[in-house]
Amino acid sequence: MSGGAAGEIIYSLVVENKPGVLFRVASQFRRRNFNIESVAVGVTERPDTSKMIITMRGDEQMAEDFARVLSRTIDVIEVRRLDPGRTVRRELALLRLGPGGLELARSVGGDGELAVIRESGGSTIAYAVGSPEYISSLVEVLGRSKVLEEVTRTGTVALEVNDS
Amino acid sequence: MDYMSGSRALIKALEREGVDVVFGIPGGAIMPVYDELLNSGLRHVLARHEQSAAHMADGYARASGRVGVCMATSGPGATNLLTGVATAYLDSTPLVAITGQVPTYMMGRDAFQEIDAVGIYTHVTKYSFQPQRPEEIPWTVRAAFFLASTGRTGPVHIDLPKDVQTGEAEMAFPDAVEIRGYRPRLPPDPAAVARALDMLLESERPIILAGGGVIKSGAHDYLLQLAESALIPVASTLMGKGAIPEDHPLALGMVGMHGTVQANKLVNEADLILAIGVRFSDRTTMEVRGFAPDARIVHFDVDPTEVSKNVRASHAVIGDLRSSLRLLLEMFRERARTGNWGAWRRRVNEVSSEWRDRILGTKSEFSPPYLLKAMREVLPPGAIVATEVGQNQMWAALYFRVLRPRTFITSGGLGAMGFGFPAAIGAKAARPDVPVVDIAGDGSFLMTMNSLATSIDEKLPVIVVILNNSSLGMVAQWQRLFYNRRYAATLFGANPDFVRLAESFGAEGVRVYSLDEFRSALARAMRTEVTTVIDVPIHPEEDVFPFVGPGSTLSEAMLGDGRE
Repeated sequence: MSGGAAGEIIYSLVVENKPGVLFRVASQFRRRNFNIESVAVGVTERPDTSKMIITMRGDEQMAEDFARVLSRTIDVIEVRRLDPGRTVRRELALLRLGPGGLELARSVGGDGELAVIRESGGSTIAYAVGSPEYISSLVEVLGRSKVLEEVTRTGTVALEVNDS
Repeated sequence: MDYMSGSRALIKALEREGVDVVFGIPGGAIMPVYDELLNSGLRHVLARHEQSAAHMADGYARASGRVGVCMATSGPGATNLLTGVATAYLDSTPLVAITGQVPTYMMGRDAFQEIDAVGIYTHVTKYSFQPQRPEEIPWTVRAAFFLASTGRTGPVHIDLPKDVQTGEAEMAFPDAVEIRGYRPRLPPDPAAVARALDMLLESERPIILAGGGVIKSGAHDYLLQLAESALIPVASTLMGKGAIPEDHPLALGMVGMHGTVQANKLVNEADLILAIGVRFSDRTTMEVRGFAPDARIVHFDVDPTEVSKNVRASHAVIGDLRSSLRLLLEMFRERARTGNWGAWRRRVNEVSSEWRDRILGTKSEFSPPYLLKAMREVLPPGAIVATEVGQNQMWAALYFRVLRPRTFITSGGLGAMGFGFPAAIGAKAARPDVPVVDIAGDGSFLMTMNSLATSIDEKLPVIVVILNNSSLGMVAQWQRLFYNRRYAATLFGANPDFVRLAESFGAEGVRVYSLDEFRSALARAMRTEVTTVIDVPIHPEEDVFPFVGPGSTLSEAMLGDGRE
């Protein structure tokens, strides 16, 4: 990455839903040694079409040039860069918590929610939904206190708000 | 709808694309396709190494403007073919490369001759397809040719599992395909073209930099008309050789590491560069901070990712170059005025007349620049010249004047040694009516010289001129200049006798020791019905000049006389 402040970059890609697409997109990042911070993929309302939200850090010019590279990738139908200031972002995490973990998790504040899915013995499986920052601080606090046995995060999904 | 095997469908689809020749080597995983070839009218040219098969298809495509087709088996066939396909990718040659693959039910089991061809080819092609069922083949072939031949042209790969070749199905052959993520035919925005013209007319020292895109899009005629109407000088990149006849008074020759003095000087004095179908490779710009420091760059290209990739453009016109240049020319004629370019024209004439016929840094009259000038005198204007990679290539770029588009074929981007000879054979298959010459070095020729067998077998006679310095000359030149003459692994102890080598394949071989002998050997080779190898022993320390060293700017060329 060339100079300039390494701000948050969010790409929203509409792609073909078929084998090899993630490989083709990821290899464009790999070739330039860009580190993907998070990627979330899911099928859209059209079964032949998926959406990928990819976040990374980098400077503005690089992000803009790379958007053109992504849009040249043949399985990529549409590329949008989302403006972090006008974008709603959410992430989901599944948490396996040891004794005392749930109480500690509930004490963590932030833009998000926590709920229990199942409890058995001393172990609880909970989910948290919220801003990526909320999920990160939850994971950090729980991890530091050794009550987090396992975590699975979805990566960030994002939508730009319409009201301009 | 027709019921047939996947192999039959492949051949039929190739015929529907107008393919007349396929270059390749068979093997286990592609035998059904080869068997079906016998039932068709397609010509197959048997290479002796898959890399050469791809280079042949590449030479065919560059000489003809059509899509080249090459074919290989799975595993080693696919990996050998890869270098040729990568060459085509970096030079944007339209190619369809077909490889066999193990049957779908064996994939992922490390079967005999199995590799992940799609995984590998994705990085060196516009796209890599792997049909999973026979009925997908007609669409896949149509899509492959569509992708290869439109937009920024390039190679496309089709990996065919053996059971997809043998399986039978009802086949529908589409005339057109739609690929949602691919919109190649964007016409130029007239406002962007008008803005480009404004910038041109405002400029005081304009220059055109013509790249390979000019030739690929067939924009050379509009380019020449524009240059002549406005009297703007034209420099070219290596891939742009032939975009303007190089004997034209406005032609400056190649810019870059081994660019001509006049091209490098004038590009760096310009205040506006009309960059047309170029990608500003590092060998063209050299140190970017010193590239055309006073110039605004107006970049015409079909590929939007090229704009400001290597050099920041002040303005861009995206779209098919032929349409863009036609529009620019029309608008220029409508405005009916030129810029205030009188002083600049005098400067261009002054620099150009001082340098354009100079030969720099040679050790004798029997050296590559003189040989190449003699070659130009002997060959007709439409003759096709391919080059290998290294000193031979740069001497050819500097001293062999290309007069027509698609008559100079060289591996510019990948710089693959061994390219020239098979590419020349492929060009001959496309253009049997013109002489085809490979300007070679002994190092490069040794990499694919087994293509002699192909050229004899397939009656595709070409002329190989080996500028023979018994070394890997360009590396040795760098060692002389930058590594204190420490010749690490560049000097050949034993070279074959190239005359007897050629004869052993059934080709003609001749060795020449003077310019006159060279001229007559070349003239004789043009009348001979088999391939001729002309071995030209040159001084082993001949270097290519001008030379802008690595890390230097275009203004800092070494001229081979101790001056800079």
